Amino acid sequence: MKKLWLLLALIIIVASQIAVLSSFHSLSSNTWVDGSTTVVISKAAFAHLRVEIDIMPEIHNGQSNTTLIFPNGTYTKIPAVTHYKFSVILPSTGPLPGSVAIQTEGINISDNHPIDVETLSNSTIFQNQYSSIDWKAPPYSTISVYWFTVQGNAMVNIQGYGARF
Amino acid sequence: MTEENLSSKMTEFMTALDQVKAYRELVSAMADFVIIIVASVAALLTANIVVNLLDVFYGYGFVTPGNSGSLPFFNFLILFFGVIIGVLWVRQKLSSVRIGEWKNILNEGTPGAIKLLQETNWEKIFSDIRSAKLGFALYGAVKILAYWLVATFLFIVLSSFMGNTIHLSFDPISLTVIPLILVLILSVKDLRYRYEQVGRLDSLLWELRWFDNEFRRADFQA
Repeated sequence: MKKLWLLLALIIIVASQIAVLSSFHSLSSNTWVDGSTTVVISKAAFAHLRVEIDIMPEIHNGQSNTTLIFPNGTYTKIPAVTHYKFSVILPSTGPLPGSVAIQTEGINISDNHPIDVETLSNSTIFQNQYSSIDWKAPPYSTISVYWFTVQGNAMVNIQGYGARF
Repeated sequence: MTEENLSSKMTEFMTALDQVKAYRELVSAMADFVIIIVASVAALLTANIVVNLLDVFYGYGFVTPGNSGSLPFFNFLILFFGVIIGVLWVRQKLSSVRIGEWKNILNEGTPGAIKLLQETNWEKIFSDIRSAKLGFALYGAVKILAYWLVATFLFIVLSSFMGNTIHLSFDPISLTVIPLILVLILSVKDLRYRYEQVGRLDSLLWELRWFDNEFRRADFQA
């Protein structure tokens, strides 16, 4: 009888672990960018997201012509190195009642797909949309978005790890 | 019935009972086996949760395309050792069953044989045979399930290796069905043995009922 209880306890533990594991999400993208490319990172408010970005700029005669432009207009010239790496962390802002479903230019978030990264070669539509949206009002208040633009030629490798808590 | 006949029949009878005793132990050992396998699965899931937490909060990058084979490989190792420990545990339990304790009593001749028969609890023996039959068949099924689980993880490791080297990938159904077919093919001998053994236990049950009857009516000669 003791063994039966032990087995039952183990089965409950395994079931809980499977539920916890199903709350983890990962994404990966490896894109060659040229000209001006915008990388849009988005997530549902209830999710925690960590994105590792690895930019490999095209190097000509020991020089790189790749620039990273941030939303506030500041920019940084990527040095002529093999890998230029940085991380973006969008922490969870806590659970929210109701479901999340937003599908628009550069953003694709739902309850089953709470983290998203997209690279847009033509970012005009996204940037116009981004500046016109009221991010404090629903439904956009249920997501977080971060973006940056890569100007020049480079290979952009993105690894994202998210959890629904 | 002569003393020699009685002694030989009793040896046959007690040997069969020893086998039943061992199979009966399988029922309790099988529960341990299932607990060990489920505990291995729990350990595997814990490792996966820790790896995912490290990825999400510290960016260790375990679950990346470059490392796609390493996590399934560790999962396979955990399960593999779980199954090995389970099988060894069952074997150890079976080998710890005391058999042949009746030999000294039977050496006393007819009085020893009669003593053994008097001490025999027939109803318990019949019930033990039924449990042994069930345990023996179930253990076979549980063992195949465990092997299937291990083979699936091994296949996932191999397929991610093949995906990285020769760009050959398998869909989720193939990843589970192919290992099952392989395990069933490799277990055909064991399945046949179990099927025959369950049949033998059935025959034993009937033979013992007859044996019980015969000895109750026997007229012993010195």
